[in-house]
Amino acid sequence: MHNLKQKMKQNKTLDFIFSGKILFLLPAFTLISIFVIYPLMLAVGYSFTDYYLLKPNDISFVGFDNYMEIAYDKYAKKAFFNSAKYVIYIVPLQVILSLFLATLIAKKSKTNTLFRTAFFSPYILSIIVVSLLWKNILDPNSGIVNEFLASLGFAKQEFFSDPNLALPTISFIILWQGISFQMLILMAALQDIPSSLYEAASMEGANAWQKFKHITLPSIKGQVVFVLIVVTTGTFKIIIEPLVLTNGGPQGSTSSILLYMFEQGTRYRQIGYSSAITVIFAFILIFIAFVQRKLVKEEEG
Amino acid sequence: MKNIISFLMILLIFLALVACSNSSNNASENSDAEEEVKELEVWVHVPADDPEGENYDVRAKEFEEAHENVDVTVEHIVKTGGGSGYNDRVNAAITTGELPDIIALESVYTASYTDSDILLPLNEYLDEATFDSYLDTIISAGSVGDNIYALQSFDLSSPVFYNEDLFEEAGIEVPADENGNWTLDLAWSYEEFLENARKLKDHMGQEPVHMFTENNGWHMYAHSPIIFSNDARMVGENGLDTEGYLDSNNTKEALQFIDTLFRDGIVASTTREDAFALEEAAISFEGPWMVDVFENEYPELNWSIMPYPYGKDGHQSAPHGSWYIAATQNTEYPELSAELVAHLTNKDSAVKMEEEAGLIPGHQELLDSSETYSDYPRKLMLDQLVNTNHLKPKSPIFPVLEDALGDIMEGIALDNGSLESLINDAKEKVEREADRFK
Repeated sequence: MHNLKQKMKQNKTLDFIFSGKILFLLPAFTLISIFVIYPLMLAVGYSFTDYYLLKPNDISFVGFDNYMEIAYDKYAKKAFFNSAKYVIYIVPLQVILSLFLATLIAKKSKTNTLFRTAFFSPYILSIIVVSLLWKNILDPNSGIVNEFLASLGFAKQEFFSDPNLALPTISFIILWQGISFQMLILMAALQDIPSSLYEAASMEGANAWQKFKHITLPSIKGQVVFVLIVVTTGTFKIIIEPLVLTNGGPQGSTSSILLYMFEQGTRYRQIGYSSAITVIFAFILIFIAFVQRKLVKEEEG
Repeated sequence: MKNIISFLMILLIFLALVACSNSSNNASENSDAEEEVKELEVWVHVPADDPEGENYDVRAKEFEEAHENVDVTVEHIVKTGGGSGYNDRVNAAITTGELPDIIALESVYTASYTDSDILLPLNEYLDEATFDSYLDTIISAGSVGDNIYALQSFDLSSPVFYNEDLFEEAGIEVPADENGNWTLDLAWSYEEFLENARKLKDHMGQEPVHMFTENNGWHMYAHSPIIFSNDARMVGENGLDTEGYLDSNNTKEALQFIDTLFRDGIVASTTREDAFALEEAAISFEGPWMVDVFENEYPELNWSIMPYPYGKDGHQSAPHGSWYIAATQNTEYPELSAELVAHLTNKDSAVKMEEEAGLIPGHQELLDSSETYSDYPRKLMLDQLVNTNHLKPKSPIFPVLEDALGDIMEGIALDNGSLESLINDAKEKVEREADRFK
């Protein structure tokens, strides 16, 4: 029985290949090959070399030296740790708050249209514009937030210069901008839930929490998992905000792993070393996505 | 039959085309032999409508007119923050081996580029008289070892601004020569600077000195001269050794002075934008471009310029450095490229850059006739450019040195660890990178 199933599967694959349908995949496959697979293979190759950007014709194989160096690099460790901090600060809040906002505005009404537009507007702004906007708002000397704090008699806060405040502040800005897109995805999922389910639940005497727990959440589980994976991997990939707002400082407290990799590759010109960081980073992301999917599947089972 | 005719027709057209293309190739080969056009490509980091960009276009045109069969193309690749847009393009060209004949580069990167055999030694193609015209500081910044690789027609030296009104109110006597000018030889030592800054603090009730504290290249440009003036160095002659340099007593003494500025509340731990313009600071380490800002936007501000404070006698130091022009090893015409570098940075360029951008002329002959820098306080910027030490490290790992100094300065400002631990961390960072080059 098992062999039969496998044979049928093989036949289907062969049919797909020879029927010409595979041609439809070709454009996407070509683009992915050029812009994702090929650079990744190059990065893997370079990670075993001492490639220095200014000496492209003098590259030597160094084995696992770059990987060993990462293990002893306290700045790399700090950057990995910072990226994990960003994930801890941002992911749970972003998923919960986007779900909360989506629930609030899922129903079609004129007021909700207004709210939807308002909530979504940060997303259409460029990350650099948003970063500069918040930099002004939170400026220790002339920023509106500090002016307000001062008027209440509180001390002015160095949001981007205080090593303890800088990372949470950047996390807040990322959260503020990113929440709207996830909200939109979840809102679309919420609108797909048949209203008859809620009507039936109401007739059975279910309260709002019970409806949310037993109808809403199970119905949008797929989308929640999607949002969770996208937000987690996206948060690990943070680079522009710390680059624009603090350049990784103060004292490296906001540097993310991607920013550190970028700095090693472009500023210090150590392509071999930064490629090794890229490879480790790619494995971490694949691992996280895999674990998240596995956990959700197990729960479904 | 029809097919045969079609085939013959296509064959005929094909042969005709081949014949035509051959004849045109022959024609072009003949004309090439007669007059070969030498094409030179120049990449600069400034837009065409900027005075500097415009100057390169004008000089390129002049060069074409003065040389038969030479075609110069200037490509303006605008730099973004930290020079990244332009630098990315140069880096990509290095990777693919497609560098142009001439490039603009930050003078501090000359050592990195020469270490990688990217630049052409100009002294092999130009005579000594050509170099004699330039300021020593420009020749020094563009040289590595015995060779000169990069030149520029102007330079910058960042001033230390002070507020005359606040000085007077605080009872500080401004040092002056017989003409009433605060000249270079009357600079304050570390101790004098501290003593007067404390008086200013007592009078103002807040941090009287303004410094930018963020960790970026500014520390190396504007603040490192304070350290170097104590006969201190970051690295040895080879640009890689830190032992006995970054951790020397002189370096520690200089950093201790900076630490005192922050611990005694003379400098604020974080940057206060516009503090000097708003008279919330009486002394400020800011860029020379602020002269125009103060004159145009703050006409009431009674500002002047004082010399950089120094640590040890005879070691006065001041900021310098800019983007320079260099020829690359990629050029097919080294002699012509070297000549073009000299032409792009000639005296006419210096005059134009002074007139249009207020920059210090980079040719000896023009210093006396300089209108902008003939009187104090602006003359002080010229004096410190010409007469002080310029000890920014010439090292293939300059970006790491810049960051390491930034880490120390930021650490001092934020009081993040002892001076000893900050120096050790910076030393470790530099050594790790230096090991790759040893």
